[in-house]
Amino acid sequence: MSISFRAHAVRVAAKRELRSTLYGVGLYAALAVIFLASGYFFVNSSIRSALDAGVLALQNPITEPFFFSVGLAATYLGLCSALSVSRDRDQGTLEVLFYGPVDTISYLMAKFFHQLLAFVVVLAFAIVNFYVISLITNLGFTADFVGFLVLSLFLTSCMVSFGIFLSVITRRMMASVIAFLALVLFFLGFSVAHTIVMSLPGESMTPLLVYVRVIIDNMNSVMQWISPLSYFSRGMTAVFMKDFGQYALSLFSSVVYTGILFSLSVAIFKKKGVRR
Amino acid sequence: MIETKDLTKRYGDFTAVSNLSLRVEKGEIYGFLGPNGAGKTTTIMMLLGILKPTEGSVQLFGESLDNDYFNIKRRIGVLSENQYFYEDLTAKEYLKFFGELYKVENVERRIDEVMGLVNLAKRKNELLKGYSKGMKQKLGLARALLHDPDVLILDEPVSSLDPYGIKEVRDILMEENRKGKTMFISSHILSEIERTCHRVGIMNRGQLLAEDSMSELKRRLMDEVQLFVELEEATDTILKSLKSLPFVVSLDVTHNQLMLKTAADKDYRGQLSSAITQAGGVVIDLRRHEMSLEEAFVTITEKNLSLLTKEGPAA
Repeated sequence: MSISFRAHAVRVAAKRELRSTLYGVGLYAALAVIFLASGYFFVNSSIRSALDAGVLALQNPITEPFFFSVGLAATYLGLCSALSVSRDRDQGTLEVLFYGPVDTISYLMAKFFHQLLAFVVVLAFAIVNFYVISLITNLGFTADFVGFLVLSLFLTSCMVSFGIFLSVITRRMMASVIAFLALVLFFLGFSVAHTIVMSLPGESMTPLLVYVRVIIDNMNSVMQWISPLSYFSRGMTAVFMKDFGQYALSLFSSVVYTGILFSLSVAIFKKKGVRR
Repeated sequence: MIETKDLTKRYGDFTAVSNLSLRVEKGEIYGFLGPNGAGKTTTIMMLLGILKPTEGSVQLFGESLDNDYFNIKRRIGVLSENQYFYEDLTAKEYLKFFGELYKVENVERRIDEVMGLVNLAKRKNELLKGYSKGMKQKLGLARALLHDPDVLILDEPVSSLDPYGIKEVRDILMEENRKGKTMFISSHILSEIERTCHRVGIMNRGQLLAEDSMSELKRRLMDEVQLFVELEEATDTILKSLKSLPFVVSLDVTHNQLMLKTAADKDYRGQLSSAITQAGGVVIDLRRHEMSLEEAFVTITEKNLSLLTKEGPAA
């Protein structure tokens, strides 16, 4: 009985949130910026560097910029998720919802599905955008595209659950935004630092640098499971390598990551309560 | 309909609500009073399951919220002290959202009904950010009534309203009570509580000090009764006769108007009237001065007087 009531609450609350997102300007403004950024990336990084190098064939000419934009959109939706609970708490609307037939699980699930549905809308816009680019440039989509498409949903699920988790643990909207941006930048920065450190030739390193490299590498193995971005990069690598096992594993680990963060969010939310 | 047993809420060393046991019967309007910080809102939040009690239990419709959360929540309408809205919605969209959440049938028609009830029908398509404080409070009441709940829990339902609005809301509440709704009302506007509630509970410093019908509460607070008597002429014979009566505690005279204090053990108006007549006087007016709820409230909370034992006032 309570499952159907809960499902109803999720559906109604998510519908209201999605409607508010679709009628607002935020999502479209973010998409416009993201498509411009991905266009710039597409021309500068892929096309220009290929031309400069005299390369005549590109492996994933459209898929890469497509995923660059989808990744940015997922991060944007993660940021929106990070705002969602703290905004409701700040505005007091959270309390009003809980006067009625809404409980912690249905409330947080509504937040989660709202962002996931918003991502489906983003995907639709992205597909149209890149299809037009494909027609203009005569560069085609590859067969990996579908794999990336599915993967993007799982990446977004990680990003959104990460955002919701931060929104639950912070009380104020500003704190949620700062926490989300700081952690995403930290994860990105760490990943870049790890790549650089690991690419340094080992034989020219001082003992201290070798020690630092070992520490960073060990930290990276932990970070691989904490950062929502790393689930995406693992999945992408699997698609490029055409390793179906790794691909399935990355989807599965995304689901586990989402589940763990969601459960933690529910537990913390119950402990903190709904009051301002 | 609403029952709490030894309900307690502690925040560290501070006890917001202590061993609160109360019971609200079906069809009753229960006034929940107390000065700021008495623990009223904390109690309401525990009734709604929004705050978890440190000790004790809450039952609504004979069930704990943990047992049947969604069904119980569907049968309660809540109006909180502070109104929080999605300001980007119109009143109609806002109510539609809650109508869907509560699975209200014919939601559009019901929205028109409740918006008409609170006199906001003409404003239903306006954005909520343009609503005044009073309008928002009335819209909150419309939301609480939308799903036709069995129990209404109202925290300061008229605090932002002008006298017309207060009367409107009072009439709505009385009408809903006539239809069988049970109400739990917390308010600072004691005159409204006095007019609408069948029973009141008075909280102070987290404890329920008194719980009874208004008349019984006043009776137990008054150890003397004040009587106002207006005579055609206050002669010495009449005054002498009244002073000699054993139940008259004191007598003040201003022209032909007398203010008497008598013992509160019974109603002495009849004996007083006949004593005046026997002394040759003519009574024009004879009234008992009723203690207001405000006076009762101040007496109880200032002295932290517990009236929960039926024997009478005990400090």
